[in-house]
Amino acid sequence: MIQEGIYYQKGVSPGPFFRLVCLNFRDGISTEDAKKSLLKVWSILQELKKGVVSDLKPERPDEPSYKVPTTNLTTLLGFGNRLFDSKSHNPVLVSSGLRPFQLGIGLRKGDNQPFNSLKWDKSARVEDAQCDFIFQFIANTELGVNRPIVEIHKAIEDYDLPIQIVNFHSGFQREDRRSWIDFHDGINNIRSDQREAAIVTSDVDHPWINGGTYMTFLKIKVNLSEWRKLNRIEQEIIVGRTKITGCPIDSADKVSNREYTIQPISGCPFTGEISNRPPVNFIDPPRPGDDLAIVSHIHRSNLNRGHPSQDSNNRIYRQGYEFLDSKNGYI
Amino acid sequence: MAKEPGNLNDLVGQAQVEWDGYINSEIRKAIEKSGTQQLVFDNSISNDVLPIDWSGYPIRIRQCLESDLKTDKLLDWVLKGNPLGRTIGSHEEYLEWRVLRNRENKIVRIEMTTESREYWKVLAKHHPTKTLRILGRFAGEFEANPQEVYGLRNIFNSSPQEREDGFIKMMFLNSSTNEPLSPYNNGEKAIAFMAKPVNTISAAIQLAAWAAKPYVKMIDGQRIPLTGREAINFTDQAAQDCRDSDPTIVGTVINLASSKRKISLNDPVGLYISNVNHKRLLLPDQSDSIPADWIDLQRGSRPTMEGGQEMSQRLVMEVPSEMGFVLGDIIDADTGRSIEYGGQIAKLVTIALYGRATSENSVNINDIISNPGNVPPCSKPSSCSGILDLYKKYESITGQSLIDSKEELVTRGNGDLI
Repeated sequence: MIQEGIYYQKGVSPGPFFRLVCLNFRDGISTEDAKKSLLKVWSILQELKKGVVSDLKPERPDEPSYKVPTTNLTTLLGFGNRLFDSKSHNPVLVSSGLRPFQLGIGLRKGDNQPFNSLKWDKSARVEDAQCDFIFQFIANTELGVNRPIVEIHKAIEDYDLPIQIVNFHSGFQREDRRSWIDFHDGINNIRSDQREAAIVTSDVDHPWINGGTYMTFLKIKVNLSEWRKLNRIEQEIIVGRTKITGCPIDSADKVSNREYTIQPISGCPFTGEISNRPPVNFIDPPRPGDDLAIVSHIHRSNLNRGHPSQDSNNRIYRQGYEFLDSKNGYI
Repeated sequence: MAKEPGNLNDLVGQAQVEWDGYINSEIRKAIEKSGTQQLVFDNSISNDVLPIDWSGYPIRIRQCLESDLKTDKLLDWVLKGNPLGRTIGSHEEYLEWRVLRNRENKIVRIEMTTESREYWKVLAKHHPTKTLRILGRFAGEFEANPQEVYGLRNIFNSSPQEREDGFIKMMFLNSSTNEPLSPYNNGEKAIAFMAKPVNTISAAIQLAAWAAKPYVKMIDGQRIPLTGREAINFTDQAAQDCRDSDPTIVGTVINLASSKRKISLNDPVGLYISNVNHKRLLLPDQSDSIPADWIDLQRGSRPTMEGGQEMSQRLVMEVPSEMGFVLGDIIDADTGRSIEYGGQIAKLVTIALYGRATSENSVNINDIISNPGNVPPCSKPSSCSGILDLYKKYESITGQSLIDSKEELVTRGNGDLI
């Protein structure tokens, strides 16, 4: 059964606010202690979803019961590679034989990271990027996604749980359906009727994950200063869509140094807003027969166009969120 | 004149003429039989080359067995010299391989090929010396034993037709034993070219031709090209469902055809190893990826400039002896497993068929509107019964069975953690 927090059904969409909390079990604890502490946190989160928090329970007979806003909070639990890693846990918490192969052996230090065509942020710490387990919170308000983190923190203190919060990440949705590079974002995703077939996994080698799925959390940093040095048409060729309307590009030709011409596909709507029912070719344009257009982002990230039930298709259902961080005075 | 696969130049004279005739005839026959108006073979399309690519790993087998371990074991199954994993198991994504192991049963060398039997038949018929030299090189010998390649006492006194017949008998898949008789193609001494009858250039041409039609479905009043699996299940196609190659070729070609383009197969027509993701393979100490030059790509042309096509047809992979470890000690970074089976390398190999297409709306043709139903899951028992039965045989013969883990960390249902 797919957990809540994966919004794959028709007519269901993720709430506008997102938090992903990365947690580790304390070193040296037993599997039984880890299980008990996880169960405690889980039960607190289930209470929170009903509006119940421990510090606001009535303590005196004259106090009324009180419930906090639940704001459509969903909680999702995921197990990470570190949980199965004998080097990270002494004694071993979970046998490495139970680690599904697809979880890999974890991130390594240095440049040699997964998705080798990506440039990894050298300042990112590998220790921060992989943990024993995560909770994903999605809700309709900022408070709705922040409160569960604070409640976990309180529970760790109150019950001396052998759990550490490593870090958490924030995200929000944009009404304009664009990203900070100003192009439309998340337009071509798996259709709702096709998502379940693409998401659910089955694995005889590791049957405990049958019916579940895998989640990858990628935080993508954009160098806006460099991006804005490109002219409009260079940006459009890189993305594969026109900037204002989002119309897919069918072909592109170089005229001279940094001068190009582009030919969008036919039949695109001429507006900066995306209607509720845009043409199918607008969302999922056919693969172009042009060697410049085909290496654009939208075609590189969707290579096969096969049926979603085709395992080899490797399609990923995206639940994307925007973020804004500051570091050393820069955004 | 049709070029040789991989831009090789092994063929001269009559052999060249015969190869050109074969490719032309196969494409013409495929166009006639399928009735396509959009696949052409006249080199008139000068647009950029378009790769249609897929993974060399037989995903259909994995989907049925629902297990990486079972699939990998089955694909490498060799019984008394007979490569059953390759021929029945099966290597069905236009990539076949053999695995060489040391005394500790660790892999020391992997050889993979996408070469076609059609090409080798022409080569062997007209150029026996060259054939024996190439096969000898594959086997680490100066020259292959002619008797074991042609089954003839004296190949130079034989007619081309006798050589062709002898070569087919020895090197092609024998239908009764399910293996090539010759040690130069059954994996005992070498693997020369793809032996499975489904792994041919002719099959790839048929696939493209039958798919080169504007098949669309209507959803909410909009026309959407059929996916490869929809087309295979609900229209006439020369394809096997649930593979990676067939639905990918069919889906990609339908996509091009439904945007009203003319399509051609790029000359030289062939099946190529277009990429090997060596960066996923780590040194035993996991300090770095293995160097790219431990993977030797052969039997084809390599791109000489950016954007050029990789047209290799053979891959040989081994660790230089001075390194002090072997291929079996290398780690797959994505799974954490050491390389124990050929299928793990096949997963890193991309196979491509190259085509060309005109700009959209360059053909005036009506859509073929289809109403596909639900595509059946690839792991459903009926489509997997043959593979599941085969795996049972494998287990009963080898006595190997995977012990399912009884341990469970958690069991979840209805939001409760137990």
